[in-house]
Amino acid sequence: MRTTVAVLLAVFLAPVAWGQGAERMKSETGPTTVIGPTNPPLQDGAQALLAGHAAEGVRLTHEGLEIAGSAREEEAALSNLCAGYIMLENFDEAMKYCELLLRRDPDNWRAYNNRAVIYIKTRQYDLAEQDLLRGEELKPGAHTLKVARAMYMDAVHPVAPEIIVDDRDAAEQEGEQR
Amino acid sequence: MPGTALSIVMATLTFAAAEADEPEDERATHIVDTSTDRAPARTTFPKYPRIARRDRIEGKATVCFTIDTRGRIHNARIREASHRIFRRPALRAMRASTFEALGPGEVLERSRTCRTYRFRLEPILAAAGSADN
Repeated sequence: MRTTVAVLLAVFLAPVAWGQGAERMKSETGPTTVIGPTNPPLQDGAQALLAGHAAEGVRLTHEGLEIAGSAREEEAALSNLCAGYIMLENFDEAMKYCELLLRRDPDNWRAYNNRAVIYIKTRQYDLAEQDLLRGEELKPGAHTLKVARAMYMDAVHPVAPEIIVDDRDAAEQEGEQR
Repeated sequence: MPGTALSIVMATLTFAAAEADEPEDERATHIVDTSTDRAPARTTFPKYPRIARRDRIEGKATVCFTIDTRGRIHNARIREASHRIFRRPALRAMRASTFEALGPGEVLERSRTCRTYRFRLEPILAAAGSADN
C-alpha cells in the first residue's frame, strides 16, 4: 500500500461571515450592515492550506495569529499552524502549535487528531494511540479521526485485501468454511 | 437586518492522512465450480471497498443471477451480504462478468445460479516498530 500522505482539511474559517470578503446585507426595514472577515490573513491562510499551498498557508496564518482579536481566532490559528506544519513535514513546529492549542483547550479533539498524525509520522505509535483514543472519546465518529485511525492501523497492523470469487454451491461453500 | 445573528462558519483545520489509496496489493482468487456445466469466460473482481478496508471490515456477498445462452448475466440480485458495504461492488463485479456461450443445441442444467464474493483482510508484517518502544 502506498505510504504517501496527503491532507484532508476541514477549514477553520475564523469568525467570518458567509461568503468571501465583505458582504452587504440589506433589510427592507433597517439600515445596511456591512460584514466581512475579521481576520483576512487567517482566512486566506486556511484557504491556502486547503488548496495545498502549505508554505503560503503557514505564512498567512502566522500573520493572522499576530492580529488575532479573539481567543477563537487564536485557537484557529494554532490549529491551522499545527496542520500546516504537518503538511510541510516540519513535525517539531507542528507539535509546538498542537501543544499550545491543547494547553489552551485540553478538549480540542482536532488537536488530538493532528498530534496523533505527528506521532504516527514520527513512529511514536503508543502516543498516537493515546491521542486517537482521546479524540474518539471527545468526538465519536469524526471522519478525520477515522482516517487517522486507519493511518495508525496501516502502520501498526497492516493488512492486504483479498477477494475470493466462489462459484461453488452455497452448501458446498459452507462445508468448506467449517 | 440589524441585530440579525450572522451564521459563522467555524471548523478547524484538521490534518489527517489521505484516504487509503487504491490498494496495489489486492489479491484475487477464483474458485470455479467444476461440478456444473457453466464455465466462466470473463471474471471481474470487485475492488475492496475503501471504507471497509479503512475500518477493517471483512465479509461476503452472494449474488444470484441468470445466465443467458450467450453467457451474459441477467437479473443479478444480492441474496445475502454480511455488510451492506459489500453489496454494490459485488453486484457491479457480477454484472461485468460473463460465462461461455452455449453451443448450438446446448442447454444449461440450470440457468439461475449464485456466486459468492468474499472480502478478506490478511495481516501482513508491519514495516517497523514503534520508535517510543
